[in-house]
Amino acid sequence: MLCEKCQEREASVFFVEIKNKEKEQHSLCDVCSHQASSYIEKPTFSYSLHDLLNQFLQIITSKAKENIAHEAQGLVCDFCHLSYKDFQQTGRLGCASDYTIFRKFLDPLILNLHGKAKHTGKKPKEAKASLKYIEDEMQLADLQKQLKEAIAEERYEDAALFRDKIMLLERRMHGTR
Amino acid sequence: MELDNLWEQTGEWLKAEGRDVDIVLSSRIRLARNIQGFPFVGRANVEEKKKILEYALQNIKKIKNLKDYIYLELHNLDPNDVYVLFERHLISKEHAGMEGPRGVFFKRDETVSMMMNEEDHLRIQMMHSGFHLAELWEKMDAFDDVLAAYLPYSFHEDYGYLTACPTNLGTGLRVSVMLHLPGLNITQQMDKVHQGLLKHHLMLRGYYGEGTVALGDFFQLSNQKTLGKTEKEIVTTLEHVVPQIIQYERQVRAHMLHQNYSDLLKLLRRAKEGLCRQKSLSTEQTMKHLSAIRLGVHLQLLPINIHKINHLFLFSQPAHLQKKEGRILTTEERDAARALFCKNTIENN
Repeated sequence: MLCEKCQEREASVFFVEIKNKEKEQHSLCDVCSHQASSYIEKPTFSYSLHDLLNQFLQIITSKAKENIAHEAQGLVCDFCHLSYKDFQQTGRLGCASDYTIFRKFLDPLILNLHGKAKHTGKKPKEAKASLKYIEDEMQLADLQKQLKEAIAEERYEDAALFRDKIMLLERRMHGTR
Repeated sequence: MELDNLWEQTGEWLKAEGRDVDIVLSSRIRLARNIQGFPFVGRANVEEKKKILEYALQNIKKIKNLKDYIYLELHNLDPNDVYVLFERHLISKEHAGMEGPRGVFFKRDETVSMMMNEEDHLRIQMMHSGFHLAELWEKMDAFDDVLAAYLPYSFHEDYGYLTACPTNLGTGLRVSVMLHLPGLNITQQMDKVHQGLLKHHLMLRGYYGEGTVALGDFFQLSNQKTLGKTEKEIVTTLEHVVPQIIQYERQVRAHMLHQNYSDLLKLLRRAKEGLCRQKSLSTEQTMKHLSAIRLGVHLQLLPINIHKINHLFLFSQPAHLQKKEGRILTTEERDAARALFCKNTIENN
């Protein structure tokens, strides 16, 4: 969609303006949206992400209202009892299952918000394998500190004990990684 | 009470140490996480919220080596103390203003804080004075791995870590820096900065984050998108953009120093007088004056210790003033107490 103001660049900012109780939809490009201070509130960059989300919600609902209205509005989550209508009002989901139940309607919204709808970052599964290592690392740092203190205080029997523990721990850490 | 000893320290993010600390006050990384089997906080009733807290705490306590941590239940805390935590950035404005069972688990040195039952079950934050995002992420990544082994996180193959609001979906990661940009703000170049940030999908917000106004030339810069990029990519974007803003601000400061020296001195004098010679000072006025004085200190035009300025930033905030006075003050009383406190701190060298 082209920007309504310059008719040149691709529109990237969409919002609804309420004028005399009438809704007016706007679509502007980055450049024009920034210049059009009368369109967009400009209180020292304090706009919130939630405002942005609400704008998207309004656009998506008005655009595809006829198609998805009946289907979406009737859906309610079994676990948290959130309806799609509740989500439209608050912008918040009620539980993890909502993402599966409302997926069809959430996908375009998420794509609009993030530009992508596929997670590429870390996963909790990978974390489990490395946990032991991290805990060992923390323990190792502790032991090394204790060893240093024992030597400083000339407690050589304790020091020997800590040294043995460190050796054992280091062997295990290298073996497990 | 634990807070009584704690509240007198200045906290990690105002330590005035670290890379580029004349412009980057602090670096901050936040992860949003939810635990499987519970409704999100906004949909949970009081009983469920209690259960979430209990379950999270029980499991977090199993983690070894979590020494020097303090746990506070906000619903059982004196309301002014809740706002003391907010002014120290240990909890968010939303978390302070919410009702019902909720807590904060934080490290005594204020470098790590975990908000429980904010918008998500867990909001894990790490702070560092100065510009140190890559190091912070490394620490956060490891900490999150440990937590993940004790708490089953809600995770979706396509959507990543599931959050109550779709704006935090995916990595759940918000990377931010607190910038002090008096040069750019005074010379009215923030619009340009703002425009330049759009293409990087970064946003500038006020002193206390989302939905707050900029106080005294302080801006929070953070990533807008959380899904579709790796955590490292998000961190790298800020690591790449922030030095450009730093350079821009330094250029403007140098220009002010060489071309508008007398105006600059006038500004500093006015700020110092404004801070020391008033009978009454609002938070906004104080922040404005402190911002100019901070600029003067970093340009080596004012012989004031930076720690004193940072001390004033924190302890002139409303809840901290009330904590110091030991009672709730009216706005007039607060403004008078603030003016006196500023005068005494600046003049007692």
